[in-house]
Amino acid sequence: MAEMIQCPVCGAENPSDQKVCQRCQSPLADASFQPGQSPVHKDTGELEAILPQWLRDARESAKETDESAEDSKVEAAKPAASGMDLLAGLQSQAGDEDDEEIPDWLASITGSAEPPKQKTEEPEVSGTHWVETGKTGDFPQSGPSAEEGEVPDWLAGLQSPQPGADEKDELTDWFRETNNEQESQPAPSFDASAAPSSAPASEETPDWLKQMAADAGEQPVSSTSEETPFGGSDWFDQGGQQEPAAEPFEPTDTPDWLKQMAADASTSEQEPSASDAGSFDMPSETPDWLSQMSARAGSMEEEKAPETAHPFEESAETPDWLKQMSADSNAAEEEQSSAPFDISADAPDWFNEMSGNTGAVEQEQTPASSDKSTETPDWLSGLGGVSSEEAAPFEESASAESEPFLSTDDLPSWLSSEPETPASKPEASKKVDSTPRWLQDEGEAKSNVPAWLSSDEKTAPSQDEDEAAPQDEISGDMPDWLKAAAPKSSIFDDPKNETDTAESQPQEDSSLRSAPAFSENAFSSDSSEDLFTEMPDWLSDAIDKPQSSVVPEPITGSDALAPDALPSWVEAMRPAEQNPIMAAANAADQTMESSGALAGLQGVLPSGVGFNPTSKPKAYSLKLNASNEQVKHASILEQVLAAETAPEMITSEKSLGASRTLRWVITSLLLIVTLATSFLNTQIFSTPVGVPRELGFAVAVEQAIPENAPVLVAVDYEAARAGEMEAAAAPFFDNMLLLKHPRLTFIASNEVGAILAERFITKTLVQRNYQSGVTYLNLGYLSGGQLGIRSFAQQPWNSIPRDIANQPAWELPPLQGVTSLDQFAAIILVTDSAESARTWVEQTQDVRGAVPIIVVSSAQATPMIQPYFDSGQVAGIVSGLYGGAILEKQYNNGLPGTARNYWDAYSIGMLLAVLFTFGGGLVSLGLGMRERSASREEEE
Amino acid sequence: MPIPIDFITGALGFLFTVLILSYLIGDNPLFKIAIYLFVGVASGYAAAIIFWQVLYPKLFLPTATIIQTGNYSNAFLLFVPWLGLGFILMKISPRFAGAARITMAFLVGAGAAVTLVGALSGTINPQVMATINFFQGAIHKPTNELIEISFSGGVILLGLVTSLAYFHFGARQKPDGSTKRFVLVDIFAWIGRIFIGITLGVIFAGVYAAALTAFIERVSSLVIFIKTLLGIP
Repeated sequence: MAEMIQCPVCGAENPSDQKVCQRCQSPLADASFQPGQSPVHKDTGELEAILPQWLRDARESAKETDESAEDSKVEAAKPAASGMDLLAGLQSQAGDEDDEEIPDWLASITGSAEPPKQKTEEPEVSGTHWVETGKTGDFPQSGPSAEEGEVPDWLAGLQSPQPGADEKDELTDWFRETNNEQESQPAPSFDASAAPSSAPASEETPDWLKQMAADAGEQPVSSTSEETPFGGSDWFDQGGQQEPAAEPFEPTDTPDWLKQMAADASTSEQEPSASDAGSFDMPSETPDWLSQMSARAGSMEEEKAPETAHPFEESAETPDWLKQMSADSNAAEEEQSSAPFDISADAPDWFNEMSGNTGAVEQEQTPASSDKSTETPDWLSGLGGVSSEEAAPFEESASAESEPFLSTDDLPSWLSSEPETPASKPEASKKVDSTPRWLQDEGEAKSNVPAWLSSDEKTAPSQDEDEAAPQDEISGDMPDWLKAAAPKSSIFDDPKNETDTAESQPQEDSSLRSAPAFSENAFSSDSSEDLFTEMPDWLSDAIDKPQSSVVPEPITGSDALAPDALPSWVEAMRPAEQNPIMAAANAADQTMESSGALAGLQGVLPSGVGFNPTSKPKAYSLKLNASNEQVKHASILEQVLAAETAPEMITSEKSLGASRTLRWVITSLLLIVTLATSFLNTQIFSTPVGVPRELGFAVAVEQAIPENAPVLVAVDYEAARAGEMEAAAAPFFDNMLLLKHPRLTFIASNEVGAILAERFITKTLVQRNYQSGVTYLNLGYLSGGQLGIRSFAQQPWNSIPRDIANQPAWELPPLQGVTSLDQFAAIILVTDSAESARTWVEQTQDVRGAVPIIVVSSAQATPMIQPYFDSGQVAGIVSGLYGGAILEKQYNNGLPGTARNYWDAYSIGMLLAVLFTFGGGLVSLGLGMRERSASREEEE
Repeated sequence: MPIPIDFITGALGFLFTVLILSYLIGDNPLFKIAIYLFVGVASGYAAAIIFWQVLYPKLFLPTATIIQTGNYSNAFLLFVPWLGLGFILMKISPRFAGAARITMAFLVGAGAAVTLVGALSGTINPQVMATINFFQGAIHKPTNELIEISFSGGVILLGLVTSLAYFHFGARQKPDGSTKRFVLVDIFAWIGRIFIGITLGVIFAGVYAAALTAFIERVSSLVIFIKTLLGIP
């Protein structure tokens, strides 16, 4: 079973090969790179996609370059073939034609400024390998094929005019030369006096360096051009002759701080500077300022003018680190008469280390560094030429800065094998103290410090004060690239050489041994720790790697671009891979960005503090704090609501079938009786004898109507009631027409009343021979309901001016002499509705006067009209078939006999109704008594 | 030989009567046919009546007369009906249906006023006075008539008071939450239930008598039609 790792966020177990947690997708702790952790080989091919574009482009370019040059041996010598270092791609790319993507200064550092033609010439000798791997012994250190044209000008100026030293990039060459000298010298020392006076100028010199040199050269030349030691330096010469208004060359790749330095130097060019009097010859290709330094170092031996002791007026805008350097150099002038290019304490640490080491060893070495000048560059051969007195400040500073390397075993070889420094040159050192120590030690250019470096001599503090100054401040003023470059030198150390050096110095002074240049506690300060911890991994790797004398085999293009060989430091830069602490802190925020530049990254925008709940939310109880009384009331309310919402059981009729049967039985009986009596014309039942009071009053009124008097007949019943209404009204009208011959005027208060009235007069009373428009008049429908009746009661002629035949009604004989309602002899209301009767009574109450109203009504409306008769508002009532039968028998001699024809059926029907009602009552009573008895039994 | 109109009308009457009586077996298509025909014929007849007996003689004809004669003195009286007609017709369009409210408001207002005045003057006052005056002059009448009037009047009065008491639903709430009407009101209400029951019984008897009469009339028409067909005297 595979090894399992635990997720730092969720604690889930994941296979060791997983980089993110399978559960929470958070990066696993093991997958991240810890500070100080040794990088290990990892298969980072799957992470190839997340590499920055510029890295991928560089790798692609490197791959192409490697493939194209795979056949040549030059390709094998390419230093960029480190499978572990992603800068290998840069290295390879630097060798290509495409130099635009890499700044010149960076290319120079990494040794990528080689032209392709030179690569082919020197496939094996490559300083870049040495730089990357940090193993000096792995590479041939004495490659003589280096060409000067490849060396940057500024480094070329530092180098001796040894052929082949400038074949590689400036750093490479410089370091390689250092190694050469180390090998050649038994006592390694950093001889600053070995000024590279004859380094050929390179066409590939970075522009910004050129510009710096040009700017720096302008300053001294303007004041002391005749004393310029760098007389051979063309750019110094030009600078000295040129006015500040000379058009500067502004390289785009120049860092700002260097631009600022150059600007400072140009602003201080008005000040006289004796350091400008560099006089040693330098190749035309050599950067002027370096040439100037070299020439000056040579001239300083001969002349030592007091006025040149402060050749560089410190500018107000001079960078601090340069000021500090000048101050250190000034202080050193007082104590040290030699070491014209004394590396001050303001110089970068690695410079101090170099100088200190050389200073320490210098006492045991003979100052005859010129003997080695044929093998080593002049500028390197001049290193170490610092006397014991001069080395004192170096020892302190170097011992304080070189602790990491300073176990004697770890002492970089290139430092331990510094070339011998020339003898002390007190006079010259006083003049060029402001220059860096590694430049001060150049014996040939003791006083030839560029103006931009020596401009701060006047204001530089004393050496004693500088000793007390913390190294952090010094280092803090240094540019980052110098800081980074300082530990780089450690990778060039060769322990073997160190031991050799130690062995080669048997006569080393005990005092110096007691205070080695690189002591173990040299980096005891925090700044040194930071320096080491901030060291790139590839440099750490180079340090930790066991040194072997085996030359690394050339890196092929495939190896160089292996996708799984992502450097650890690049891997550590990946935002997705956080350390466990950060991962745990951002565990709650693992949101993956979906858009923008951070697309695809997870948890890169962590939430602020307090965003995520830090503790479990407090639980609040939902229980109400109700008293017993409140609970009781709530229960009562609940019961009330339950009672309201509870469905009430409705007892259904169990006797539905019986009702249908009963309905059929009743219907059958009525049909049979009606049919039988009608068909048989039976007269079984006698008509009523007694005359109701309302009927009697109606007959009395009817008999009181004058002869041929106008009578208003209002018809308001439905067609379904026509049989009853005609049966009730026919005897009444027959008697009236027979006796009084009234002029009848019919009016209907509903739509069908007019046609029913016409039907009544033409069929029922056909025997009386009444004719429309002569003896009767049908006014038709009176619209408007109560309003119509009210209107008719007030203005009859205006409400219905025409009859049903559309003739002027009020001009016809039936209505002659009638203009108002009270002019009628009587009002006979034939209706089956109590409402209709009430309306006519009400609306004509105050209009009709003494005109009597006789109501011939249906049996169903009579009970409702009876009160109006009792109140005197209605003169008489003829109610239904019962009233018609009485009239027919009592007052009309049995004519027309309609009531009689219906009477038997009506009597039987009423009898059946009585029977059924009574029988139904009895049945209901019996059922009720049974239910009550049953309920009593249940209760008992 | 022409078919007498009475035979046709009798036959149709017979047919539709049977269709209506088919409701005894429940709702059926025959019954529905008779109902639909009745509704349709009644609506058509009502529309014809309204046009020929209302609109034409009371609106169109006077307007035409005014236009023909040129006598516009009474035109204002016709303008109001026309305006009301226009407003009512605006109900066709939902956008202008609000205009009909003017006419409807006028009709409802006038109808309510007429009804209220008619009820007060034609029903309430006369009925109250009739109840009060029932005993008027009875004391001067002979004893037997006095007893009759007193009994009749007493029953009417009792029936009136108790019936009104029955519809009095006011009651007080007891401490236990239950409600009960005043005892005297409760007694009168109980008596009023008797009078109300008798009244409803009488009304039901009248309805039954009317329905029975109609039924008899219809059956008699059938018998007469059959006898006519059969030639039975």
